[in-house]
Amino acid sequence: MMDMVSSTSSAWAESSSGSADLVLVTRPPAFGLPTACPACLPAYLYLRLAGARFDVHVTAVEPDSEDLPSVEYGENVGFASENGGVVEFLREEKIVDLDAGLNERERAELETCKAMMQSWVADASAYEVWMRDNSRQCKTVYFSELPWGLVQALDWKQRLAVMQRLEITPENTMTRTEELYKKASNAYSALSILLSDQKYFFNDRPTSLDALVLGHLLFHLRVPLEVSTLKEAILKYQNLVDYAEHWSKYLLGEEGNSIDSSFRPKTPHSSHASPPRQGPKERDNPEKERREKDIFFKKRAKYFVIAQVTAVLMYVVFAGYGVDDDGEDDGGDDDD
Amino acid sequence: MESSGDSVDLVLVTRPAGFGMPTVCPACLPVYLYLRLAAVSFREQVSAVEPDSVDLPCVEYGENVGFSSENGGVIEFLRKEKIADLDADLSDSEKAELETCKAMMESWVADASAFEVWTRDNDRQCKVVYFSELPWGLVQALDWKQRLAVMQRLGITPENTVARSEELFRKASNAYSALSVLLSDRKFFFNNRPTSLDALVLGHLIFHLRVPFEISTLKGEILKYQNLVDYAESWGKQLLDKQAILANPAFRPKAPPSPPLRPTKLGSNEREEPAKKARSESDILLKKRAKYFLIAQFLAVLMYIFIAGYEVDDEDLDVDDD
Repeated sequence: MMDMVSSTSSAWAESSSGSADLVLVTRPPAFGLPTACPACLPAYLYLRLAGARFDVHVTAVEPDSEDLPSVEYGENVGFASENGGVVEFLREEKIVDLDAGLNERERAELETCKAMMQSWVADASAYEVWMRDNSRQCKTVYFSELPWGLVQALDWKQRLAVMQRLEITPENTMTRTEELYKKASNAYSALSILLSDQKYFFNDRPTSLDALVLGHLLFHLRVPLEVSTLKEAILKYQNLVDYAEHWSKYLLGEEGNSIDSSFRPKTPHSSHASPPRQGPKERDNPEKERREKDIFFKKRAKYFVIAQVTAVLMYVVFAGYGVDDDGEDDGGDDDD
Repeated sequence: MESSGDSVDLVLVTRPAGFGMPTVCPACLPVYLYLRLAAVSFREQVSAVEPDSVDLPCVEYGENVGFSSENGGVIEFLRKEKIADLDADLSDSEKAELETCKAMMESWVADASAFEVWTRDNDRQCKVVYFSELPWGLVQALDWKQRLAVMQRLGITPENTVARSEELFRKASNAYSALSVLLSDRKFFFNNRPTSLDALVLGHLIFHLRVPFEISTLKGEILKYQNLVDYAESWGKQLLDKQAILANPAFRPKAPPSPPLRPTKLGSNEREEPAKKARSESDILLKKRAKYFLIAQFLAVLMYIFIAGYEVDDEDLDVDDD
């Protein structure tokens, strides 16, 4: 595996004229998608639509992180949680900007559509992914390489956070979910009309909106959720389905992963990363790998500590029960 | 009402007036403007006893009531009851654009607005908007509770306040920029006639331009777009200001402080409806007042237990066992 890592980076570095690698860090692949994470997939598609060359770095140890997807470009890193996310980072670093050619009016329309994707559509999607019925697929998306105990704890914590954010309580679940799905449905209807029979949303060239919409459509069409209301809603709009299917073949390839040699996902499993085969030009890589290692270690440490604390707490709770029983024995009341 | 052929009133229930506006609540104002833009005659009823309710604004039409918390809100209710539908004539693609703009207003703009209204620095104006006719103790409790709920919904913690608020204001700014481009120099957003989007946008702009917040970042942003300011000022004068209102006899705001209402001047076939409606209004009013009375009582009891409990603990510790 280490050989694969080093050979990938060396092959990439030799063939490109720039000295900075572009690395997209995503959650693991699944269900035939290069990354099954609904936040990472649009970033991946954006880079593919832009024809940019990049490596994909898979990380499984940040299941509840808002920082993913992230992009590393030389020394700089752009996180999803920072203002504007990965797409804005790519624009600021002048790596890629699919929206540059839009006129003012198109840009305004793009903003409104983006807002709709990030609110109405994203909320319904989050609800569906985190519904209890879909927990099996949800775990595959978010927790696929973690130990069982941690998965249960994080899954519960994350679900609670999502339902809280969506303001869903046991009492209002039905009305709230109806509302969420209705808004998503309105969004699909609007997108279907705006796309009509075009290849892209704007002006015959791809924009960030295409990446956003395709990411969402492909996720819900491909991930086999137990309850997939959104998929059924999408299927009502034939042009959206055709759009998604057409681009999935082109951007994801028939096998789902390898289209051209510049893309080969690599997973940093082991902790020692000193690839012996590197040439003089790539001395930066050990530094980057050391940094990666650091981040990796910190994350593993964090989860190890969480697990330990949970174990201690559980012990305290159960040991405590025994002590209470002893204390309740009356030492004999003196009646005076 | 006597002049209209219909025997059914349309009543809009909103939070109280303030700062020169017939209703100063940012959720009620767009609905008020929608009805004015649609030139539908309606009565306005002010309700001050539902400060934390998501049901306001609501509209009563005969026996039916449309709440803002129900799917699509008041505007959808007005469409279903065939009272008013400003969006009826839009083409498919205009309707699609309207939906995307509406989503943007309801997410990016509404979130930044809520943050600004509920920022601690602005709590004086916030109390005028939401709690203007309640007793002091209740105001404090509900204000605290509501602020907590809003900040939780927006995902704001003491640690991330700066970053999160920057993000909220940035999105609002992008929204204003988009709205400014889409409106350009026209009178309405679509096709030279008012739509629900105009009501939504005007409601937001006028609110932030007129309410004198201590910290008004959004107002500062809005002022960067002259066409949005002109749009808001022009329609604000036409739809909200006193002269326009007095000229229209159909509109007369009234505040129901106590039950029951018995309008004696109505004709015979209308005597049932106002009495029935008045009775249900007074019922709702009583229930709400009762609810808040109980909350206040409960809080008082809790506080007593808590404080009384402290004294008891001290006494126990003083007892020595030999």
